Amino acid sequence: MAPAEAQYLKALRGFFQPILEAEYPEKGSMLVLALDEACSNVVKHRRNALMEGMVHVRATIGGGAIRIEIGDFCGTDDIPNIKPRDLADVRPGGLGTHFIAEIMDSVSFQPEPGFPGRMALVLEKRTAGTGSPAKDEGAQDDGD
Amino acid sequence: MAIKVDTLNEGGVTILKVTGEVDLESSPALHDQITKLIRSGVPLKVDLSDVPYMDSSGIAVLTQGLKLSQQKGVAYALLNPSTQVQAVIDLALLSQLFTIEHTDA
Repeated sequence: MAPAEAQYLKALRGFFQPILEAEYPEKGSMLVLALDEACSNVVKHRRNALMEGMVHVRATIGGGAIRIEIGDFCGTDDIPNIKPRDLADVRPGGLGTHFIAEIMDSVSFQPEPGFPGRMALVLEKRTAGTGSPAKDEGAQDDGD
Repeated sequence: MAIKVDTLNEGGVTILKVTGEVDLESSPALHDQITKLIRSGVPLKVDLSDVPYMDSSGIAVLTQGLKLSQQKGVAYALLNPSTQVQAVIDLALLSQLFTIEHTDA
């Protein structure tokens, strides 16, 4: 968990980078990009209504996959507006969503338990490993 | 600001040397520098060899620079992009759009 402000994105990347690169050496840096793009989306659009200005990130590794969850990413009404842009249209906007879709094997929204209308963004990437027991990694709110 | 930008002139071409991670926080500063230099009308090369990380906001800045340079008729190129930056440019399917120069040994 970290404040949903641009100045904290580097610290979030720094926390997750060694974890993701250790688990997926070939594509770890791209997973960091996907995670960063998702967090940047929270910072830019501030759709997260529940978390009081914080971005919540959890990475779960195990079972042959890496799962990254961004808590309270948006409301159900926002989902139709979250889509990659046409890459032939050379302009800013929607590129981060394109990156996430290209990098991850699965991108989905899941309801936040106990919070009707609020959705978490769930990113999944299959790894080459046979699957170790799942373990959670979450960024600490240490203000770095 | 997480990046450092330095300019030098080499034979009538301005080299904008970028050092640090280009993300949502730092990309506005890069945008300002690139825009200012292109508006000055001098050919510009953006040296990305010491940029270990760039996100979509950085790619957007480079793309905006390309569009502005085309409007102004100013030569614009990317110089020695790092492995991560090149990977992100490729991911955006923009490697054919930019002029990318490699001078490293």
